[in-house]
Amino acid sequence: MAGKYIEFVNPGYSTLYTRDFKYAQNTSRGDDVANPFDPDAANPLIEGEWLQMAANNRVTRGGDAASATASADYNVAVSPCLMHFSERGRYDVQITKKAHCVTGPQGFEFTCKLGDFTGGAAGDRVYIMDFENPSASGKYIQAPVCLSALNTASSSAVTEAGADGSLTATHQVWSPGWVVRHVSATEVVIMFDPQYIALNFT
Amino acid sequence: MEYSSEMVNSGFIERLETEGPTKTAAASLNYIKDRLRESSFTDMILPNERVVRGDLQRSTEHDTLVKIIDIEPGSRAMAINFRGQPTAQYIQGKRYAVSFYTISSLKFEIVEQELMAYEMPITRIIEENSLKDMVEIKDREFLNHVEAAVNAMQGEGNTSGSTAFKTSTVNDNLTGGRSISKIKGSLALQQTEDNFTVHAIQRPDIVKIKKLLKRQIVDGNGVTIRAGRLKPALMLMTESDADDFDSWTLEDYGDRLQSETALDGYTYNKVLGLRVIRTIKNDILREGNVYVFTAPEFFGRNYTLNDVKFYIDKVANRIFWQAWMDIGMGIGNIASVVKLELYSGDASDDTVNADVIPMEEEDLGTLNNKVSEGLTFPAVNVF
Repeated sequence: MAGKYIEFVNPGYSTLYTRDFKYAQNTSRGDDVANPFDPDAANPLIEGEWLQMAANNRVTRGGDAASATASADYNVAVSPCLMHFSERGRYDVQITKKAHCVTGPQGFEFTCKLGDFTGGAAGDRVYIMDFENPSASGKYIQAPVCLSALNTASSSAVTEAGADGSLTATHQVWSPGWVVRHVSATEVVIMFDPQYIALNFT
Repeated sequence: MEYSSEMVNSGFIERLETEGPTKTAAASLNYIKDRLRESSFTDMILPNERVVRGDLQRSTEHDTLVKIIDIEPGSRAMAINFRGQPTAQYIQGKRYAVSFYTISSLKFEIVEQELMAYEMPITRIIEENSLKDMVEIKDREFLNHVEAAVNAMQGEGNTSGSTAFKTSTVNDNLTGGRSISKIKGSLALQQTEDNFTVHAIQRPDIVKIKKLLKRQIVDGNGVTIRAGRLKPALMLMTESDADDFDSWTLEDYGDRLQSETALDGYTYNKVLGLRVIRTIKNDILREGNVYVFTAPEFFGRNYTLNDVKFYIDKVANRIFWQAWMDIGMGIGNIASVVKLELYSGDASDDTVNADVIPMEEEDLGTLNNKVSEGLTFPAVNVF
């Protein structure tokens, strides 16, 4: 049921802006050839993961082949992402093959139980980064991560999602918002406030 | 009483104010139409059935619905001697699920003041067109399912599941070229290059595609790929492909039909015993693609959950409205549709097939007229 990973706090879902985008397959992420909307796919799309825009008005998972199965490479999003808000294997989504994405407005708050918020605190920014799919062991999706968790993940291994160049100290990364309330290492309330941030990883 | 379009537009506002959200109705044709709009060909191939919540099943994991349909079990008989016993068969019925999803019109908005600037009944036109726009999307989804069914059958009967069905693979007997649910037109087979130039449909093409549904096809290992015993019932094609019937010769028609055709064109809705459904939606069913279907009971199901819904509201001076329907379509027997391709290229190759697969959803509303570019003649600027 909805709410496993995402709950909208304010305003309610009916007030949010949403779009249904066709999905562009990203085989480097372990997408099944046929259909990642299939709940039995190797790396099924799940509620709360973040997708990037791709060609032809489609969305796709960010990241490259190096992060599909190994945790040695932490892709961080450097382009805008959208939250996918459909439970794994919904029948309507399976057949339309469209990802239901929340696009705004700026300032909505949501409880997020998908991501790594270790060491985070209220006011911290979150970033979109590799995260192991809880529905598919060893397969990676992209989800919000606090900078404190990102730093512990070895800054030298952080690379740009969708490209293989390592981030430099002045690289701009994309942040979907900031922590309103830090509940635990696996749960925060986030204020959607998307913007580019210049991060110093060193 | 005759209604003028201005009355419709102002009455539309007034009724919204006095009666709340409701529909208004009246019409006159004092505007230029951009294109023809048709009803759904899907509903002609698979008659639509209305279902309600009680007919459907839900999931334990999420809040969406399916209808589960039984499929006829296989059976056979056997000859035995007086003391013999027949072979036992434990019955295990197969089922498939038809999932439901929404097709919606756009959400139309206008302010009251600007609505009064229209002399055509724009609200009514959009309301009527919305239904046809929605069934266009339904037809597009249906054709995607049909093409997937045809390709799946091709994959079943070709090495490594190859669906590379093109003139070169057919003529040279290469991987992917085995005809299981597809055939190439006779003129397409004469081409030396694989491309998407559409050639005219010939009478023997229709004979061949009819036979394909009836035939049994067994692979080299003795495995039955297509069991046959299906009867073609109707053929779906574009109006422009059907126009090639008018080019058939005296040898094809005989003198009576030839003289009729010379006068009126081919006006019958049957050809070689097949009921023909012609569609003008060339952006959905692309030219060169002809499908032949069995009767619906052998093929699949087409459902609408409850009814088509229409919502309209007015907040201050802003008016907005939207229509939608919840539908489910499923093909239970993928062998019940076959395809005739009138071009030599491979329609399953996503890198080159853009001319022969349905256009993208967002490209379907493209207009014929060029008024927004200032192209009307004679052009007069009014200030």
